[in-house]
Amino acid sequence: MGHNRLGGGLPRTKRWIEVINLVGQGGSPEQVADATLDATEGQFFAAADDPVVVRTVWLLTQLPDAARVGDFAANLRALGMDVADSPSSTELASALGRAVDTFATSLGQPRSDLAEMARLSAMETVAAAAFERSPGLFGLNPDAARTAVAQIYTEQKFGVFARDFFARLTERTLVHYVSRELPLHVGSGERFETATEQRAFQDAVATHARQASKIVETFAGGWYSKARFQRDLTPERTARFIGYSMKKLRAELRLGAK
Amino acid sequence: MTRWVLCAGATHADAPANALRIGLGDGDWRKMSIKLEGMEQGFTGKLPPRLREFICISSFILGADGATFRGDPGKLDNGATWRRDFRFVIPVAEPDFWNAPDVRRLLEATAGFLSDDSYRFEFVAAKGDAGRVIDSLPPTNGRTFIPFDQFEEVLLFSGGMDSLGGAIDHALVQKRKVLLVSHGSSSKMASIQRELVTELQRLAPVGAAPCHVILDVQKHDELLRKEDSQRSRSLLFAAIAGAVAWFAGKRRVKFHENGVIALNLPIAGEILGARATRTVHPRVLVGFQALLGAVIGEPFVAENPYQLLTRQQVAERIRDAGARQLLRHSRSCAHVRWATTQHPFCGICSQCVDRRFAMHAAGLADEDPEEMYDFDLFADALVRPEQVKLALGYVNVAETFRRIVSPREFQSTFGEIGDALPALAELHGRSQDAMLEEVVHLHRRQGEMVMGVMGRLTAARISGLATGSVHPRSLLARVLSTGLQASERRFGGPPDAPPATSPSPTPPPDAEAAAVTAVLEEKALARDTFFDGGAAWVVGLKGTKARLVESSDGMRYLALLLAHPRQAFGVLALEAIARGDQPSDAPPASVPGIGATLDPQAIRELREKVEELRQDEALGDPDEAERARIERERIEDQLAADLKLGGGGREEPPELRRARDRLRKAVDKAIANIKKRHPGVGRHLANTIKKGTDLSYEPEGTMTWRLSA
Repeated sequence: MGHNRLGGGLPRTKRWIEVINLVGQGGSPEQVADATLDATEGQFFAAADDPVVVRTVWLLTQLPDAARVGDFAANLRALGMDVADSPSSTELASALGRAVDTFATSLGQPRSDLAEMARLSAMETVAAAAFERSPGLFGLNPDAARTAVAQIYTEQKFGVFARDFFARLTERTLVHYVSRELPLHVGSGERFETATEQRAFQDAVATHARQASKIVETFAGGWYSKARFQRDLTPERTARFIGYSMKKLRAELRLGAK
Repeated sequence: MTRWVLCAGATHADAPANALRIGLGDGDWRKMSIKLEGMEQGFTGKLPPRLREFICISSFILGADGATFRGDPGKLDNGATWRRDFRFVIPVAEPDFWNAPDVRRLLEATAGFLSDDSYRFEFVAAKGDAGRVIDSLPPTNGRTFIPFDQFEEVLLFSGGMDSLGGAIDHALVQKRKVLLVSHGSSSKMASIQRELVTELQRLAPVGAAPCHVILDVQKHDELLRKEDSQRSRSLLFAAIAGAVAWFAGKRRVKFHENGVIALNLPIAGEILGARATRTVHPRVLVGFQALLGAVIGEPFVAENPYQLLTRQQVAERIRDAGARQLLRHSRSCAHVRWATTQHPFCGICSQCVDRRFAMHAAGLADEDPEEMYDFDLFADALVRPEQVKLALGYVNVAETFRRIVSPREFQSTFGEIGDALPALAELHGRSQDAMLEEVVHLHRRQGEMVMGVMGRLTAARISGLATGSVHPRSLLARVLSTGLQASERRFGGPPDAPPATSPSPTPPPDAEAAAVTAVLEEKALARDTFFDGGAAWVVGLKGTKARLVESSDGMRYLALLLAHPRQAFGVLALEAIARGDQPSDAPPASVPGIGATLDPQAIRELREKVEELRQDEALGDPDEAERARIERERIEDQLAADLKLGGGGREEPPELRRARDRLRKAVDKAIANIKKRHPGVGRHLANTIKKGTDLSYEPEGTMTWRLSA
């Protein structure tokens, strides 16, 4: 009980060795992020073709309207989210995760790591956004969650919402890989003198992902408004949006490394 | 690729030729068997068929789990080999029941979440009775027949600290009659469990002595042991425990696992899904109780009473129950098979790591001596990548737990908690929001516990970093600054605490540790630094990082020399000042004389006298030898002083020569040590410390050393 399956460091292939060398020899967080995505390129771009990722993002696009019109809880249930009558932000995030989980199980095939990272990122994004209007640290109330989610329908708010999701997904993806290597460079005479420095570097990678994801904010709101206006917020259109977002995000991350 | 699993002789038209064929008992399949030790009465014959089939199904899942390799943990394939796709065909007496969508989906979802795999089940009608699925062993320890009607609770008992705590809580504190169900994963583990139960039986009040059943799952075929992660095994434990509970007329089983481990949030970004075990994850418990409820046809409860406790709190409960002596006999180590009598714990698996921290935090380190561990988590070199990542990940995530204060931040940092909250709310009868708050508090306690232990151990063992008893690649060394920060917070007061009104000339140990930390954390020192940090010295040059160097007499001599650039110190004076026998601002190159300058004849006579006295020391009785030694030393001091004061003797007395040798060696050794830790300072001192008749520090230009914390 309580075991963790940890592998060794990164694979000793040409591209991963480049990442390892950058980590060990003082490469910046931006350079490490760029090299990491080079090494994993196919997997990062696979997001648009992964039905679980698409379902995850599609569910995110459905939340604002579910909160704006009619019975919020009933609308959520129609989306496969098992919630009580007045769901709090906590319940909303949990229910979204379970809905994606149920969908993934229904496909009858194992999900990918990327799909699982997208699911977790979406739960975190919803938790952060839905808590936004809560009055205090522990002062949660269900109306606050609904109100916060309903406001995401604006172009500007959806841009921020989408950016948050893609930032988290990018960060999780990067950390999923580099966390295999970073601890191996901690100690006297190593890249990171202490675990504190290692954490600071990992935080810098996350910050880089968040900054690069600004590009998503610039077009996500417009895309959402248009698709919503055309009543075409479909999984297919969502998949194209994901593909475009990943492409732009990748270019931005590459730019940051130069 | 889908892995077909044909169970107990089942066939299927779509199954490929290489489908896994698996069964209990003898047959044309890969064989497994289940035995229960401690139950004489026929076990399966009296069980309801569905319950018996649930045990069979769980066994088949475990068999397929073990027979299907998950691939190299280091392989980066987007989880393709980690997650497997199973399709089971299982003969049962009531296929309609098992194929009902609710039941089948529940089984698929519970097993799927537990092991991170995809499951599809097809239940077909069995031809005749599948036969005995569980063999009872002859009773051991003189037991004959378990009086099922006397039990109040059924507890899973692994023999680890948490399950021991549960047994102690029930049997010794609440004085309740419990039936303990164990999985004897190896003969060694079964033996440990038996010994613990025997001790519990001895300590329990009359009428509350626990009974014990040991489950033994045998995979007779090598192929069923290909994959050792066995994430699905707690499903079989739940099925067996449910069956035992049914015998006892109970509809509840308890799993005792501290909440942090039960939730098992990832310690590193590479860990996704069930790569962190979900053995008693709340969602799994809800699945177990729903499955057992459906199978038995009555509401069933699977609960974890320790869900909101840390392991430290569990250890404290055991201590408070007066059973601390049992702690050292509990075993949670993942590597019990390789345990020795001398080192029963590996020291570096997840459970050992958590155990060591918890025992230190609970003040129970004396019940958990370092010698019991094959690997000293804190001081030994972390070499293998998995060791490094586990130990650092454990501490890093604890630091994150400690920093998070709000539910929002927690939920938006650990999305994984969303998988647990609905189940926690169901199990505890409270809202998800309330349970999220509990979870935040639980993990804050864990974070404080871990960082507090790091702080205390770092302060206590910092000198080991210099002496080598703590390896520079150990956990303590790699987390040094983090630990000391925690130490400062917990024991040195907040950073903005008002200064003491009458500062003590000697800073308290924690304040000293905090000062050392501050200097060690400077990326580039503002000044050349050389001071006594308490247990070790802190050295560095301006613009570089400070390093710790082992304490020694030589370091004290060097500090004195650095404090008085270009002043010559006689060896005896230097020793006297370093000992504190003479103030450092006294005339540096002298010691108080013992008389007038001696002429050469007097010196010769005194030397002859010294030799006579040496012989007396060697040959005389103890009293006479002592008198001779005192007299000899007095004469030698006289000779030494005369030499220093410019007396007639120019031939150096032996005592003075020895003192000089001693001092030079001390200084040379200190400089050598410094070179290892900070080559720049070492080179500077090697070039500037002059060791002639006197010693002096002769820098080029002006060096302004920081010489105190």
